[in-house]
Amino acid sequence: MTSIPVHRSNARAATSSTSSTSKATSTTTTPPSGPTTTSTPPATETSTLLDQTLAGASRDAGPRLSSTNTGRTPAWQLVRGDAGLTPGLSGAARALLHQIGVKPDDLPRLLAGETVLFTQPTASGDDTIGTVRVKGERIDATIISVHDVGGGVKALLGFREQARDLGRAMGCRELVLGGAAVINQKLEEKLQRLGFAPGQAPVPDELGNVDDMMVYTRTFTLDGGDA
Amino acid sequence: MSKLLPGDDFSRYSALRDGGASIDDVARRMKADGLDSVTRIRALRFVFGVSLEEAKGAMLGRDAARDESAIGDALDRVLTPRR
Repeated sequence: MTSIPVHRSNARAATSSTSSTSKATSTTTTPPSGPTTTSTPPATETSTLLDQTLAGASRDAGPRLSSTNTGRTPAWQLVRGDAGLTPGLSGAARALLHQIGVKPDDLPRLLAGETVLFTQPTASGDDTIGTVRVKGERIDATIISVHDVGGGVKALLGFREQARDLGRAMGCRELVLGGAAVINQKLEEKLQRLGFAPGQAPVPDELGNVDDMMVYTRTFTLDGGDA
Repeated sequence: MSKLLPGDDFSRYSALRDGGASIDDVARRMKADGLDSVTRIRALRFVFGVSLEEAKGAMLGRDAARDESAIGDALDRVLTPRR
């Protein structure tokens, strides 16, 4: 019998290849038929709302934008992905989610308040990996892995801006910024010194699940400008 | 141990492990084979039974800790109030 090398402290050989995932099945919906009863504000109002949303100048601009019908777009803001149509998402939020790297198929789960994984390509070939969740007036945005030689810092700070803008576009008042699965002890110490509190969160299914990961989080208010 | 997703087949990497390849060797092979980062982490965790942190460290290699140091310094600059 071939011996199995144990490379790390808790390394052990895998023997089973069966598993199940807890990923929710995406739902498919259809747009309403017949004449819409939604009031139709002028196109300029939507444009102003979008500007306010992206600039963070209006706390409720995101939700208002979501329900706005300009006549150029349906009353339902629809996202078309492989899973079907997803109502309840503004164009601004949809664009930001695309920028962040959330897959269209995962949008129904995101809108249901679940945590979804995102990836962003980097020059190194190792994607930036993280999770995002929007629940109520709070957005959780967590980085799990960043590796972009010479660009990791830029990627991280860019992600912070994207998460802040997405939170505002979705009507959130709080941004919980997180760093998970940290492997550098000095970074762990620095995060704690900067007010990031340690906690646990389930590892996403896509990364193998079965256990929790250490997450350092800090909450920022989106209407106070400290994010 | 880690969960697999439908369609996952990492048997060739388990064979490499059984042949004596280290987790770092297998991580490099996975990247050369074109596996994306998320799949590589899941596969390394499955094949070697390691934690997320260990799989991430093997995937990113020697640069990983250095990257995180740079990130810590940047966060310090951004989040520490200036006088």
